[in-house]
Amino acid sequence: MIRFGRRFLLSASVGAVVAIAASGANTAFAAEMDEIKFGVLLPLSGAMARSGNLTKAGIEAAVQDINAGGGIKSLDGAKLKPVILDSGSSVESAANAAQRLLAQEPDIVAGIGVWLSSHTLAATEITERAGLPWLTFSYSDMITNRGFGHVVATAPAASRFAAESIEMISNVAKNAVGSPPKTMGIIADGTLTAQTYVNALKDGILKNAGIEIVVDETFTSPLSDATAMVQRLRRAMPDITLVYTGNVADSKLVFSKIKEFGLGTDVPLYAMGTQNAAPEMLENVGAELLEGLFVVVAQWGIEKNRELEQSLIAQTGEPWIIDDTFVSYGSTMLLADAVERAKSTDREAIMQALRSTDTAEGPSKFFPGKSLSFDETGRIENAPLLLVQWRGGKPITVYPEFLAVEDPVWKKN
Amino acid sequence: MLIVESILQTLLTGIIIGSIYGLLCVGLSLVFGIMKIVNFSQGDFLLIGMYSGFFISAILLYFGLSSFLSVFIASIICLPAFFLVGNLFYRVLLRRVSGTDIRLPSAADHQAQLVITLGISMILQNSALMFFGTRPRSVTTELSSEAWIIDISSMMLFINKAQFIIAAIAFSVVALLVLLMNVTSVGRRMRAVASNAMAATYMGIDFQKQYATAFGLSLALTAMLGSLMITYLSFHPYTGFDFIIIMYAGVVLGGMGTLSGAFLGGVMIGIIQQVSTLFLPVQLQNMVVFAAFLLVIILRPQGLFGRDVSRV
Repeated sequence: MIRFGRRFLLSASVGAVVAIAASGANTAFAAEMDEIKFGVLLPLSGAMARSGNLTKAGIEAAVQDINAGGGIKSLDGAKLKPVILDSGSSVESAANAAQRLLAQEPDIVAGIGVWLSSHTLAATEITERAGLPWLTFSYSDMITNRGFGHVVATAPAASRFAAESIEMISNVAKNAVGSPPKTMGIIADGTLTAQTYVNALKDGILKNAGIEIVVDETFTSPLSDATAMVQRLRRAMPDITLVYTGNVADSKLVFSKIKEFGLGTDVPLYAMGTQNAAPEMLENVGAELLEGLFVVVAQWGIEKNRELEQSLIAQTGEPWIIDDTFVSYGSTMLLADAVERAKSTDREAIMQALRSTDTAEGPSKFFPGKSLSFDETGRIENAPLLLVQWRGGKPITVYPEFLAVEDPVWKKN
Repeated sequence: MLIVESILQTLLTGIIIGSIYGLLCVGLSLVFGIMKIVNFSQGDFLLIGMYSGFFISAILLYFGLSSFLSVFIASIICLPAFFLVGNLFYRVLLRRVSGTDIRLPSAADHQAQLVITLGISMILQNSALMFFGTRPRSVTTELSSEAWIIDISSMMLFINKAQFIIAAIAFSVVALLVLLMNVTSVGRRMRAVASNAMAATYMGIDFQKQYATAFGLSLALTAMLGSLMITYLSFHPYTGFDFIIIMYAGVVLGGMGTLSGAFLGGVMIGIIQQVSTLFLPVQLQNMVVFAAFLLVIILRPQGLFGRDVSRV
């Protein structure tokens, strides 16, 4: 009979444990190579949840397409896996979510989010310290002006919007009626975003364009009634009127009052921000009130992304796709392309690949510019702003000409 | 002439918007004045009224009714439905923390009421968020952006049709309610309890029953108005909060414990909001409302139309 000594049993047990642990570690390592995790921070609860969910839909659709197409080929077909966290509705909750993401998911290779500029500013303070490559579609100039080395912004900077939107509106008016607008009415809410834009207009942009402000109204959201503001508009009858509202409820009150005062068909109007071209505007304000309204956006349905738009419509069930979904899809495609080129899950290698992106192929197909590249701060270059116009209950891209789906229609004042 | 037109237009709009605020204040005043309960969930019951109106009118629209008529019928359906909800709500929840001492409302009662109504507010708000999401909703009716135009010697005044009809309904409802409180035995019992719950009890009035009726009435009126407001207003799960401050300001401005005072308080808020835009930027209109509110608190703490109980 074979007898095992106590010492033998002990060493055998230790050996077995080590062997099992090693085999487990190998399995874990293999699993890690099978999937490449990246973090996603979006407002999925609170007042911004609708935007967060539309953005999430773009990321999920892109991940599905990348994985269905064979994953990251330079890493043996590893699949992308988003780790999605709710960033909530405050700056504090966004910063906490970023902390949680880094603590709970140490193996993520990059991150995407947070939608709202102030939230992105807070979250990237934390991800930058961790050296995590971060893709954002927030507009604030401050995001890329802090000298951070791990941030890439796939949306144009806010500072471009004021000058370029006036240039676009002036060009459309010039083509339609032979001269650019000479007078302007402004109805804007008191939020930082709206006032930054309006102040930029007042600080020389309008003067240089030869436009005089004849109505200048700022209100505090939520608006109780728009009578006083629209009454002034009716008296001044400006050549163009800016309506800068941050939510549908305020937009509804302003546009309803404009129609009520008989100005609906007479005053050319333009609005800033995706929310004014979102499907819920149609549900709440109605096609009649919105007809002819111009909206300045960063991305929209154009010839280049027609196929993608149809696919996203089928996946999300939305009647049309807004820029939140387009830009998040494109950003995820860009991340996959960077990992592919980096041939590694090393964060620095991915960051270098992201910043050195310069292509008219691959992920560039999902952005409106002719090519895709980033400046030294990490902000997207060659990204034209778009002018969409409500036509028959749907916002259609009408400017710039090389991206327009239809010609713009200018209301004769 | 332009100045006269502006003054008349802002006054007209102020009265119309103010009448809508007025009914909101009356709804709150029923709870605040009769039951002495500070109800923080009132704004969220307004919100639930809005959602109810939205979904009921969607069903009616499906059967081919016009959009404004659908909303109008939905608001009538909300009346008895929310009266029952309020009644039940009082009997199941608030009864436990209201009127435990009929001589005077105790501090312990107030604290419990505060926690309960705040809790209910959060539950209603988050339930709306969970079930309906943050997508804004409203009913676009044929009257929402239409106006009656008064053309007097080169002056044009615009009266929004939907808002005017709602304001007229609000005014009529308040008139009926004042009549109910002063003429009927139900109203007299409620007034007796509001005035002195202990004396009313000695007279054989079941004060808990009156509280339940008052709470039911309050929710019924608030939900009915919420249902009508969706014709000109988009709402989302946080909309209720936007109105709760106006409700309290109106009740305190008009006078606590008087229904007609609460209504007039609401009307005054509407007028102040609108008329202030003639002299100050639109951005400051709510600041002016609260400046007026503070002034009333300092100079006439019982409210503009309230009675000074200490002098009785």
